[in-house]
Amino acid sequence: MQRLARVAVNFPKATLGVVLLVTAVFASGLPRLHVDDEIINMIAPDHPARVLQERIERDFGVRDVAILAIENREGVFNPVSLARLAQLTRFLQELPGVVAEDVASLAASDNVVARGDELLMRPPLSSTSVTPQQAAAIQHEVLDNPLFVGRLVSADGTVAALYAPLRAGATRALVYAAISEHLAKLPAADNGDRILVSGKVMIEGGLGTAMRADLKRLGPIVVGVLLVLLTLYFRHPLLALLPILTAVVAVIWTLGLMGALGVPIYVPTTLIPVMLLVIGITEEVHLIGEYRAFGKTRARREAVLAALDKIKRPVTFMTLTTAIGFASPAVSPIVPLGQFGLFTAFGIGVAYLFTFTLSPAYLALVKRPQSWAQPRETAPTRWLRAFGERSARHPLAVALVLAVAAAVALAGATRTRVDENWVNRFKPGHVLYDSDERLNRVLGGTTLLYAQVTTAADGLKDPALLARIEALQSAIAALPGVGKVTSIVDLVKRTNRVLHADDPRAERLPETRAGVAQQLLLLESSGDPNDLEGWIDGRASRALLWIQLKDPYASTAAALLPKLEAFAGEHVGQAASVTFGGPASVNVAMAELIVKSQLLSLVAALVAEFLVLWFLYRSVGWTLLCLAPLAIALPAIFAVVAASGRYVDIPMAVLASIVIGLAVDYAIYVLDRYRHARAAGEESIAAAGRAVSESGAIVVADSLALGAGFCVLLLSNFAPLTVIGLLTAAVLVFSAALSLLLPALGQWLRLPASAAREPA
Amino acid sequence: MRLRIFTLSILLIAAPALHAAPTGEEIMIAVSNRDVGRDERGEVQMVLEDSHGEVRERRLLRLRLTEGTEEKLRIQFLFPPDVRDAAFLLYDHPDRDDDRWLYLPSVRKAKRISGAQKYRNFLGTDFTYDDLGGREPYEDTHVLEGEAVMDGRPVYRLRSTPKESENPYAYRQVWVWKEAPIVLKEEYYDRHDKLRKRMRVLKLDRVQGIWTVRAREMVDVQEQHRTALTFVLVRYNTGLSPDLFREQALDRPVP
Repeated sequence: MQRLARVAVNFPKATLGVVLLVTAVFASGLPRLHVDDEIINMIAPDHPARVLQERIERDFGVRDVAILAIENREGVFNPVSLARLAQLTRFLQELPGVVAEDVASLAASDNVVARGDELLMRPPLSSTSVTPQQAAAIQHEVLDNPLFVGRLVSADGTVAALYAPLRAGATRALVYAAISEHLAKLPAADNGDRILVSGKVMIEGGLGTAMRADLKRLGPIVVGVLLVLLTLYFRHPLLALLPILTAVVAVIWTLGLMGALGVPIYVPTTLIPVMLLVIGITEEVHLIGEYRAFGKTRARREAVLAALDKIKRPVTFMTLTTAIGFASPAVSPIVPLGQFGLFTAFGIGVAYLFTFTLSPAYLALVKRPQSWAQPRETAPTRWLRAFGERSARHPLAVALVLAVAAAVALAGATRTRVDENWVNRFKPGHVLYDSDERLNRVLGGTTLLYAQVTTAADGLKDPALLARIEALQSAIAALPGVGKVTSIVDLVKRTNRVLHADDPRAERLPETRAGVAQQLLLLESSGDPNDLEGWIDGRASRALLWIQLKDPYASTAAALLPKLEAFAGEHVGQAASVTFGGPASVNVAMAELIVKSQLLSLVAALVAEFLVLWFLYRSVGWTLLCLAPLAIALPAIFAVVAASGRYVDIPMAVLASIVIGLAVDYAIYVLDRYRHARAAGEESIAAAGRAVSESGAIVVADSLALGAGFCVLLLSNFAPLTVIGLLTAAVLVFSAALSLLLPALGQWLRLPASAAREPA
Repeated sequence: MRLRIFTLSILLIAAPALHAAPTGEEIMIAVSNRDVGRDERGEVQMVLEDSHGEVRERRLLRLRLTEGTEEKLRIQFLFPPDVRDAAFLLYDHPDRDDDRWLYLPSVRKAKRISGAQKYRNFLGTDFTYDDLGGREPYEDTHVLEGEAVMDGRPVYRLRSTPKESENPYAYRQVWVWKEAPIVLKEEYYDRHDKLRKRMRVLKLDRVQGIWTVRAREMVDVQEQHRTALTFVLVRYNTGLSPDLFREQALDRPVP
C-alpha cells in the first residue's frame, strides 16, 4: 500500500484523474438504483412467513390496504361529511394503483336490507348529496350492521373509514404519493372534519419516502457541520474537505455498484451513505492529524508518506475489523440487513484504498497553512497527556471503573426485548402515527391477522362447521388485544335475518346445507363477488376470519398466536384445518428473525474480530484489551434502549452492527501509538501520556466532530433516524473516551510491546 | 316499429353494395333487434374457473319470452343439488331499470331484488347483467372502426363508449358478425385503459333457422377468472306460457 501511496504523491494529478475516471464508471450505475419499500421483500422469498402471507393473498385476493378515514367529533352522519366520504371513495376508485371494485366504504360496500318482500342491495351511501334526514337514516342503517361497525364506521359514529387495496404490481410509494398529494390539495374542512391516514400501504409507502426526504434534508447539514468543525480543527478548509470528499466518493462507488448489480435500496440500506460518511472520515482525520504533527519540518510529499506510515497499521487493523463488523449480518435472513453489511464493507474497502491513493495525491497538491509552521502543544493536548499519565499511575482505579461500567451495561442489557411496530417509525404528531392511534381506539384495529379455514369443496356449506367457526370466532374476539373478528358466519347470519323480514330472532345460521348454499347464492347474486370473495371462496372450501388487532406491536400478535392455535384445536378440531397468517404474523416472524440474526451476527462478528486482532497482535492480552470498548459499548447500547422503554427492532439491529464496526476503531489507534512508543524504548507512563495526547487528541476531535454531525439527525421526523443519530453519537464519544483509558490498562497488565505484525 | 327497424338494419347490413357501410349505432341496433323468435327454452352448463384453476359447475334451465319490446328471462337451477329449484326471474325493459326476483326454496318465497346492480356480476359469474343483454344500444356511443375477418367470418369492429360516467369500463371493443348481427367477441377496457375482460363466442350454429350461440366464454384477464357457458337442448317457439314468467310461479319448478 505504501508503494501505491508513493506513486500517488509523485503523480498526484494522474492519480486523481484515474480515481475520477473509475468514479465516473461507478456513477454510471447510479441511475439504475431503484427503491423497494415493500417490507415483505425484506424476508427471503422461501421463508415460511412470507410463503404463508403470499398464499393467503393469492387464495383470497386480500391485499395490503391504504386506509383513509373521516373523523368528526360531532359525528360523520351529516350531509357535508358524507359528501366528502363519497368523493374520497370516488377518488380512491379512480387511483391506478388501487383495485377499484374492492374499495370498501359506506359509499362502495353493499348492504342488504329488507323492505317488506323486497331486498335492497346497494351501498348505504349511494349519492353525493343527502339531506340531514337521509343522513340520519343512513346512520341508523349502518350502525345496525355488525359487518360495518368497527370496520367501516366507529360505533359512536364519529369515524367513517375507507379501505383501498393495492393492485398487484403497484408500488406503495406511488399510491402513498398520489393520496398524500390529493389530501394536501383538499380545501380545509369548515365543519370540523379531519382526515385520518393509515394502513400498511400508507405506512410502508410513507416510511421510505419520509426517510429519504429526511436524509436529503439533513444530509447536507450533517456534512456542513462536519466541514465547519474539521475546518476549526485543521485550521484549513481545503484540508477539512478531504475527509468528506473521500467519504462522498466512496458512497458513489458503493451505490453505483448496487445500481449496476440491480440491488434495490431498502429502508435499512438507505443508511449506507451515513455509515460510509462516518468511517470514511475517521481514516482521513487521522491521516491529516498525523500529517499536521510534522508541522512544516519536512517537504510536503515526505510528510504525507511519513504520516501514512504512522497510521497504516492502525488503519489496516481498523478497516479489517470494521469491515468484518459490518459484513457479519451478511448471513441474516433479513435480506436488507445482509446487504447493508456487505455493501458497507465494500465501501469501507474503497475508503481504505482512497487513504493510500486519493488522499496522499490530494494532500500533495494542497499547500499547508502558515499556522502549521510552529507546532505547539495546545491546552487540550496538555490535559490529555496529563490524563494519560495519571490514569497510567492509577490503573487499578481505571480497571475498577471499567469493570463497574461493564457490569452495569451487562445487567441493563439483560432487560432487552425484541419487538416490531412499523407505526412507531413515525413520531407522535405525524399524521400516520396519530391517525393509527385514533383508528385503533375507535375501530376494531388497523392491524390484521387472518385465520384460514380449509376443508373439502362445499364443506363450508355445512351448518355444523359454520357453528364451529362461530365458536372459534367468539373465543378469539374475547382475547385481549383483539378488537374485532368477522367471518362468513356474520354475513350468512345477517342474510338470514334480512330474508326473514329483518326479524332479529332470525340472525342465526340456517339449519340445513341447502339453506346455507342458497344464502351464498343470494349473496353472489347481489353481484359484488368481491364482497364475498374476501370471506369465502367460490367452492366453499376455504373461509377467512379477519382478526383486527388493537395495536401494531409484533409482541401483541406473538402472544396471541399460541392461544389462537389452541382455540382452533378446541373449536374446529378435525372438522377442518386452520392456519393463521397475515401482516401481523409477518411482523412476528420478522421480530423472531431479528433475534436470531442478531445473536448470530454478534457472535460471528466478535469471534471474527478476535481472530483478526489476535492474528495481528499475536497476543491474547492485547486483543482482549482492544475489544474492551466494544464489550462495554454494545451491552451499554442495549441497556440504554431497554432502560428508555424501547425495544430492539430493525433500525436497532442496524445500529448494533454499527457499534461493532466502530467501537474498536479508536482503541486500535490509541493502543497502536502506545505500543509503538514502548517498542521505541519509552517508559510506560510516558508512553501512555504520548498515546493519549497524540492519537487520543485526534480520536477525541474525530469523535466530537462526528458526534456533532450525527446529532443533526435528531432533527429528523423519522424516529429510527433520531435514535440512530443519538446513539451513534453516544457510541462514538463513549468509545473514544474508553480508548483513552486503555494504555493505563495495557501497562498495568504488563503486556509485551513488540511482536505486532506489519501489514503488507 | 321494432320489426321495421330490424328489416331496415338487415337491409343495411346485407346489402353493402347498395348502401354505404352502416354506422356503428345501426349495427348495434340490429344486434339488439335480431329476430330470435317469440320464446326459447334450453339448458345452460356453466363452468366457473378461479385463478387457481379450481372449477365449479352449475346447470340451469333457461326460459325466455319476448313480449313486444320486453324480454323476460327465467332461470332455474338444476345443479348443484343444494341450490336445485332456486329460480331467478328478470324483466328486461328497454326504457327503464330491469326488474329482478330471486326464489330460494329454503325461504319459500320469491324476493324482489333491487339496487345498483347493472355493473355487478351475474350470479357470481364473470358476466355482468349488462353483458348478458341488459345493456341497450342507446346507452353507448358506437363508432365503426373497421372491418376484419375473424375465424373465417367477416366482422365489423366497433368501439362502444358508455355515455354514463359511473360505468366501470372506459370503452369496449366489439366484433359483430356481418352475416347475422351477433357479437362474436368483446373486449372491455377499464378506466386506466387496461384490458379487463374478454368475451368470445366459441360455437355458433343454426337452430330452427335461427343463428344460436352454443358456447361462449368470458375471461377476466386481470383477476384470471373464467366463466364458460354452453347452451344445449335449445328450442325456439315452443309456446311457453306467459304464466311461467310471473314471480308467483317461481316456487313451482318447470319440469
